[in-house]
Amino acid sequence: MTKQLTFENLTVRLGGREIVHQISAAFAAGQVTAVVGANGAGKSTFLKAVTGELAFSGAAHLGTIDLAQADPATLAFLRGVLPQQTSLAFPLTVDEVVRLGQVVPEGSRWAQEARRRTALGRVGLAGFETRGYHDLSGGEQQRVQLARVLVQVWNPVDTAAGQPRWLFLDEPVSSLDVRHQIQIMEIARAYANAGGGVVAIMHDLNLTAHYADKIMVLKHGRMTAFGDMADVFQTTVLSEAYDHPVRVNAVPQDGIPFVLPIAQTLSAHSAPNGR
Amino acid sequence: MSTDDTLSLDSDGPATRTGWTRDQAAGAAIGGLAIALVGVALFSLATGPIQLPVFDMLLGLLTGTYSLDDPAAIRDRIVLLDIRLPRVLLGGLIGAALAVTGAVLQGLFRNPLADPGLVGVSAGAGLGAASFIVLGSSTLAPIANLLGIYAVPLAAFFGGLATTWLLYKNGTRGGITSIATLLLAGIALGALAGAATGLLVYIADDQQLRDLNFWGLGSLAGASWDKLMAAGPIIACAFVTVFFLTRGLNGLMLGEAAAQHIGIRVQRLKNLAILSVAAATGASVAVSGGIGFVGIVVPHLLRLTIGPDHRYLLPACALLGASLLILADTVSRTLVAPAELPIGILTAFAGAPFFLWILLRKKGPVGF
Ligand SMILES: Nc1ncnc2c1ncn2[C@@H]1O[C@H](COP(=O)(O)OP(=O)(O)OP(=O)(O)O)[C@@H](O)[C@H]1O
Ligand SMILES: [Mg+2]
Repeated sequence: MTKQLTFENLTVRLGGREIVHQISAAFAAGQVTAVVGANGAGKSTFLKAVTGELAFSGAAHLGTIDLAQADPATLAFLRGVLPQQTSLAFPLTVDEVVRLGQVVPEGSRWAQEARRRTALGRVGLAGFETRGYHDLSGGEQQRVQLARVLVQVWNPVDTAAGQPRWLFLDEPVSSLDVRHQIQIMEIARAYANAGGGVVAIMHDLNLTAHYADKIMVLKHGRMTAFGDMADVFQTTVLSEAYDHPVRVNAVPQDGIPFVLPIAQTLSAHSAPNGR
Repeated sequence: MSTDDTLSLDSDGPATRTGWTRDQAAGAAIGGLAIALVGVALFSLATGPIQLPVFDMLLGLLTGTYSLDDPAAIRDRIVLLDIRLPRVLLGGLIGAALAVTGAVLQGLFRNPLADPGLVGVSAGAGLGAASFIVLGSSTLAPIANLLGIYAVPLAAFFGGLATTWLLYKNGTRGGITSIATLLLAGIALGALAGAATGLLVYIADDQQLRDLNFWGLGSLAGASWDKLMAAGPIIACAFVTVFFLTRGLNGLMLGEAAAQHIGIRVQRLKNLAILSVAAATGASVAVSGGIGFVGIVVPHLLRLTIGPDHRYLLPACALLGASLLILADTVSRTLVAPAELPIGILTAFAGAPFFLWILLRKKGPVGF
């Protein structure tokens, strides 16, 4: 039981409106759980409630810790959060940004520095330490932020208490190219394989199909589906979720599903009078 | 690319770097600034209508061998200990306070343009001080008698506190500070406080008018051990507090939400930062009036050279702010001697063009 993230009737109100309605579910450590849904479905709001940024009613527990009452330092030790957007107020270097993930220090100074370097290497930014953060491209900045989150909860399992730690990622690959999308999702996968918990908000359903163990679908703030890939990756479920027809198929060799949104006009290439 | 090598957990030895890291450079800069401060302070002690042999005198006083045989030595001792020393100490204290509060306010608002003078905090503190200067012997006499020499600094503190708090309420919505709202709210609050101060000026008598005018322009001319004793402890408390907030202020660079994610108690951080800024601004305004631009120029200059890490920025601000104000004060009391130029005029003359230069730079570190 202590290796789960559980919600009971989690509800968030913002500006007098209920943005997230009565979500009850349990996410397991050791798995990648994807949260999908249309723009404005309430995915980020749900995550913000879980990460202590927004007040909510109902209950949410990380293991035995009540998320409504936990103090920031305790939580920072147990979970890292990659927001959908981050702005940096002053011109720090890449290494200084990553170091902000170590506000609550773990290990010696030397170990911390080595960790930052390894983290930057993992997100494909080895040697970027002394570059100015503001001089990086959007995708590079996003990966620096991920490195910052990684050094915060470096070991997927806190060895002293045997407690899993968690990564909460709000669209971690939204500005990344194909290669780096895979690279980042591999990090998430490896984190879960090592016993940590990963919750990722995703828009790319095909990447989700590759890397997620469990999928939660939100629509208008309600959970319309939650379960294994086989149950959720259904033409009806996904078409419903996005209010748009999609086609779910499987790659012949390995059976991994892929999702094709159905375009409304004929393909430019198949149209006989295209040019 | 193989995913294997990016996922390996290896962490080989410490980084082999050539040259200095930013940390080391910042440490060296702080050392240099500390030495410079000592030099500037000695220079200021020696300079004036009477040139003093400061080294010999301090050595003599410290070792107890200072001879009081001839009248010149007695006079020199009075000039040094009763006139120049408190003035240099007060100048250093106020300069440090102005620069540090500027840096803290900028960190809090996540904006390099926030400055107590610019956003009305000084005006609010000024109103607090003015009300006790003018009404201290009449309407507010019971409180003034109770608080003694602390009445004016405390009143300035509460004035500064109220303004900072109002400013924060107005300028920040949902954890995001809008610089436009902030500056406009600051201008409005400053104007309001200025108008209320004007009203007090209107009802003030001659002696009170002189006092008001005196710190209105900003000056260290009234420096005394009493003033040092009144402002010193308040500013010291504020300093001790903000030096515990450096990591929090660093985290706040990512925004309030992310700061909380990395383990910072953001609400407590904001409360303590606002209290410290109000205390230090209040105390400095009470003893020296509104001295502009130190709070914006010094942190900015240092961010350009040693970087924005508050662990280094705040001590460096304290040292450079102190040096600059002592230097400005030395100039202000020697330039038109035996008269004095209010120091606020000097800092504005030096600071305002610098500020414009920051704004005109093509690619400033502030990002706009
Ligand atoms: N502070 C707020 N006040 C009022 N409504 C809000 C607030 N924040 C978000 N909302 C609304 O809540 C809904 C859900 O927003 P949320 O950011 O959770 O969407 P999302 O699922 O993450 O979408 P996206 O895929 O675009 O990131 C939206 O309709 C949004 O307009
Ligand atoms: Mg979102």
